[in-house]
This record gives sequence, C-alpha cells and structure tokens, in this order.
Amino acid sequence: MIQVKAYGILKKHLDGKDKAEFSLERGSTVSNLFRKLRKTRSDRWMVVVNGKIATENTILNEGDIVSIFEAIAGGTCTWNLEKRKFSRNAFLAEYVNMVS
Amino acid sequence: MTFGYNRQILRVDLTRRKIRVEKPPESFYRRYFGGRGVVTYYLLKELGSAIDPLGSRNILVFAPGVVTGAPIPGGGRNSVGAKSPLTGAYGEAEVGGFWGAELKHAGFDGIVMKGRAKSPVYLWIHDGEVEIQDAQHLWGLDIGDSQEIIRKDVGERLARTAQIGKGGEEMVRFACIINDLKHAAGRVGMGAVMGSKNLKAVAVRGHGGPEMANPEKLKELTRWIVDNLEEEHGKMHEYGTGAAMKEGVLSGNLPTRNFRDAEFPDPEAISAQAIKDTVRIGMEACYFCPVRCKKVVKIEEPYAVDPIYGGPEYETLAAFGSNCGINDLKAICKANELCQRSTLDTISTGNVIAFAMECFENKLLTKTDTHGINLTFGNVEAMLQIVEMIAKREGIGDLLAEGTMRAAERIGKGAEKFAVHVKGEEVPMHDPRLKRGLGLGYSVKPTGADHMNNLHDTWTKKMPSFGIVEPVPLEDLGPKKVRLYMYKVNFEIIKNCLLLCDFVHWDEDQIVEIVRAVTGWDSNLWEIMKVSERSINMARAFNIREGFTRKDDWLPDRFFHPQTSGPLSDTAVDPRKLENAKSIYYSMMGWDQERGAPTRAKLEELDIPWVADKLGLSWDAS
Repeated sequence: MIQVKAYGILKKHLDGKDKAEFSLERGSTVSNLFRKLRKTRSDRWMVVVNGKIATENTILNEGDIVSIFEAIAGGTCTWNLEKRKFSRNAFLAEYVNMVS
Repeated sequence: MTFGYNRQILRVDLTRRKIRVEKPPESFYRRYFGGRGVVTYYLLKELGSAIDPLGSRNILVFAPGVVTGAPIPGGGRNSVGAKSPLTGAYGEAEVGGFWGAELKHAGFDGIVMKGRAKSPVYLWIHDGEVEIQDAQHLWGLDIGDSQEIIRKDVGERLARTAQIGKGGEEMVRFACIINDLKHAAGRVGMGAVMGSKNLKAVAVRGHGGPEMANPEKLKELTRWIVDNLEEEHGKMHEYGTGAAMKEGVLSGNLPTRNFRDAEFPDPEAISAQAIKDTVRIGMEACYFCPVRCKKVVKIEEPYAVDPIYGGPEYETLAAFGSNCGINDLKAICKANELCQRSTLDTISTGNVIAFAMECFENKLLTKTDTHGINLTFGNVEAMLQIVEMIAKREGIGDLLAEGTMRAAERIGKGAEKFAVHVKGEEVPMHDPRLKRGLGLGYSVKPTGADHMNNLHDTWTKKMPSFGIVEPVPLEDLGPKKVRLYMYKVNFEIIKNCLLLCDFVHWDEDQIVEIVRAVTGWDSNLWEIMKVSERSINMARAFNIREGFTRKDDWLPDRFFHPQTSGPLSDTAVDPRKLENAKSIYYSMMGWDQERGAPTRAKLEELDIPWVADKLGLSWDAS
C-alpha cells in the first residue's frame, strides 16, 4: 500500500480527507498515481515522496508516503486551478477546508 | 491628440535647482512604453560608464508607464531606476500604491533627477506646477512623520509621497523608496541614490491626467476582474501573500537559516493565515484595485507596530522569519515596520542579518564585532536590534549596511561561502534548488537575484499560447527550460514597462486590450513583446558597458550544495548545467558567448542602433 497525504485544496481528491491509502501495481510511477486520483491533473501539483521532492517519473514502492500540494506563487497557493465559477457559499466551503 | 500619456517628462537639476519639461514625440512612448523602457533609455543616454552610483553624476528616474493612471486594476505603479549602489549594475525597482497614478494625473510621465542638492530638499508637484522645497526640518524623520509635515506644509491632505527615511539618508546600499508609507520600490538601493542627492521626498497631487482612447473597454476589463474576483484572485484577496508557508516547508522552498536548512518548526505561525487570525486589522488596496491584497497589522505589545506602515509580505515573513530561524510573528511585523519607517529593503535586510548570523555561529564574527550581541539564528531581540543599527549605520550595522557581498569581503576568512547574493543583490525567498529556471533567471537578470517576472518552475510549466505545449519538468535545465524561461520573461517584463501589477492576473490578450484601450494604438502581442525584449536588451547593454561579463551571471555557492535535510537534501543546482543553460540563453537572445552582449544585429532588429553605438559594436564584431 502507498499512503497519500493531501494538503489544502487538494484534499478534495481524497474525498476531503487528509490521507488515504492506495494499492498500485509494481513499477507504478507518480504519474500512475495521479491518474488514479483524477483523470487529468494540473501541472501545478507538487509531489514529495518519503520527504524528498519527486517527479512524475519517480517509481513508487510499497510503504512509500506521497504528499501532494499546490505550487506556490507570491508565497500563496493558487486558489482555483480549474477556473471554475463558484458561488459565494462554495467559496466559503473551500476556504474553511483550506484553513482547517 | 494623444491618449494615455501627457507628453511631458520632468527634468530636475538638483545642483542648480533648475526645472524644465521635455516633450518627447509619440514614437518615444510607442518604442519604450515607460517604466524599464524609459529608465534604460535615460541611463544609457545620460550616464557615463563607471560613475559612482552615490555621486552627483548618477541620475534617478521615476517612471510610470503608458497605462499608469488609467482606471484599471494594477494600474497605479511606477518604476524607479538608477545605477545601483548595491550591485554597480543596472538598478530598477517597481512599486505600487497611488503615487505613480498621481504623477500622471499631475501632468507628468516621468521625472529624471540629476545632480545633488546642497542641503535636504523635497519636490512638490501639483497639477503641472513643480517646486523645490527645503527639507532640513524633515531630514532624519521616519517617513510617517515627514509625510504628515509635508501634507501640512503644502496644504494638501491627499498629497501622495515617495520618500526615504533614515536608511536612505544614511545611504544604506539596499535602502528603498516608499510610496504612500507602505509600498516599496524595494530592491537594489534606489533609496540610497535618493539620499545621495539630498532628496527626502517627492510629493504629488493631480486632478487631471491623460484621456483614455476607449474608456468603455476599460470599464469592461475592470468589470471582468470584479466579476471573477473569487475565482481568479480569491486567496490573494483573502490573505495577500504568505499563505503557503507549510507548502514552502514541504517543498523545501522556504529559505531557512540563510538558505542552509529545511527544518523549521511551525511555519504556519508566520503565515498570512496567522496574521489574519491575530494581528491583522484590515486589508488595503492600491489605486483602482479590487484585489486588495495589502495587509495592515497593528500590535501593541510586546512591540508597538503602527498600522500606517501596512504589514509584511511573504518575502518579509520569510526573510526575517525562517531565514533568520525566527517564528515569532510579532517580531517579524516589528522588523517590517522598522524597515518601512527608515526605508530599508526587507529582503536584503533579512538576508544580510541571516548571513551575519551564520558568520557568528561559525565564529567569523564574535561578540567584539557585534558589541556584545549574541547574533545566533533564532535570536529575536538581536534581529530587531540589528535592523535599527543598519538603518543608523551604528556598530556592526555600518558593515551590514554595505550589503552581503561587501560585508563578506571585509570579514574575509571564507565568509563569501555564506554570502547568498547575485552581483551583490541579496537572494529573495525562492530556492533555485527547487526552481531551476528561476536560478537561471537569478544568474542572468540585470539587477541580480530578482524573483519578479522570473520563471517560477513550479507554477509555469508550459505556455500553450506561446507555442510551449508540453510541460517542461521541474528539474530540467536544458534547452526546453531555457526557451520557457525566455518566453516567460520576454513577455512578463512588459509589466515593468507598461507598468502593471504581477498580482492582478491579466492574461496576454487582456494586456493587449488594455494597451489598445488606453492609448488608441493598434498594438498586438508581437509589438508588446518586442518592447519588453528591447528593454531587456537595453538593461543588458547597460551592464555590458559597466564591464559585467559572462562570469558575473552566476549563483552563490550555497545553491550548488543540497539543503542539510528535507525535500532538497539530495539535490542541488549542477554548475555545468547552469553554464550550459547560459550558453543556450545567450544564443537564443542573440547575445554573444563571451560577455553575453547583445549583437549589433539584435539591437538593429529591435530598432535601437544607438545602443549598439554606445557599446561600440560594429557589424563585423557581431
């Protein structure tokens, strides 16, 4: 099993949870994991495997801990990568998720 | 009939107390746009090479752009330029607030200052009138106090000011100029140049300004920002910068203990979220901007922090925080306020203190040097004491006021390996061991280590509308990354010419629409990228004339070694790859390999043959 930890807005890819476990085929890469999390990923995701900066081609092994979070601009994460329109209520829900 | 600009540049000779107005033709504005374009124009035309940046022969140029003062978000900015006393190279800083727009509304598209006043003065510009006023009573005052007195003196409570405090007066080499008490033209010592001219302030008030070619279009563009505020700028609106401190630690991008380490306890204690929850009393906007990303903090104890000076940005939080090993938010806010009062660049100030702390821990500086101060990482009181000593050039503050590069040379004993600067400019709070393209930018940018309008590899991996359709990996430093860097920067520098704010996310089509609607020109993206490229080449030419060469385009030693722990503990910048990336970049830019000098052909292509003449470039040599 591989443990995935998500930060900030990316928690939504783990159904709102901080972490989740996935089983992947032997030889799977970070890229394979991303595909499992959602169909298309943003180029602005950052990934750390076992505490070290990783790339899409990094091979994942049993027991690895993978952290995903958004890229940083102006020292502030992107707010919304999909350019979704959202209502004030949705905005507040995201915001609460972000700071909790 | 012209739109967007006044066709008036103010010329001030401080030595002779003479004022005149220059009226450039439309072609001047269309070729250079403003900001960096205008700064480089005057510096190349009017400075001899090798002058003393703090001597009377340097000039100081205040340059808004053609869209400054237009009713659009991000349109209140100006550049300030001079030969830098910190780097000896091309010097320029950009700043927000209201002052730039006010200058345009008062009837001027720029100010070129030369000479040196015999005693302290300030300039008072109001609706086309210009006066040089005595400033002896203001010299030595914090900028909050001097602004209050200036406003009373001129009888105008809404006069906007660009000022220096004690740091500028003392010619601290990284002193800045501050607009409206809280917006800094921060980098490479423009405040020291202002101090060297005995110029305390430029106060402005204007009620007119140029007409707009298509005001309806500008309203439509502004409406787009307002309608999409939450989607496009939600987090900046809510927090401002500094809301991703935890992510900074996770990725290794948060500079910690002079860029040495990665472990930093409780980074969220110094985040924009913590500021909002504890010391923030509001958010403020610059001219015409709904993004409203500027924090205002107020603290009563243990340090009184006056809200008139705003609040810390990400760069400041990291420079005085993690990079000094400090996670005391109130102390960082106090350091920010001290820097604003006395106009010190917070990035350079925090960085030079972190440098001194590492020297102290390695016994290159001792308590004899520091007058008894225990200058270790994490020592909050020491950090605050040193900020004040730098502003006043007292004790060790006098050494550190010279900047990291000069301080390392004077300390000797190998201190250079702890000096994190490029060409003398202290490195801002983004790590090239994570962002390799940014590292190339730090190396080749004309002002030194500049993170603005640079490639942040984590953020920009492709630019489909520029033909870069496949993402370029984070760790790449080959031709694909160089191309991405070059296109990104050749486009983004237009924000320093027009002037537009980097935190208002106009895309390239919208920027073209803004130029067309403000000026009435039939501009397109190709034209504005050429204006940008022209200004990059002119800044490069300035440095070539000053004797800068290929070897000066380099990173500090620290980035060729991994961090001591954490995400970047087994990776660093490869010097061979950096050298190769420089070669590719010079070739792609049309620069020679020996010095990185623009060729005559490149400068002719950009319609600036006079710059080639200044460099003595012949067709043969190209």
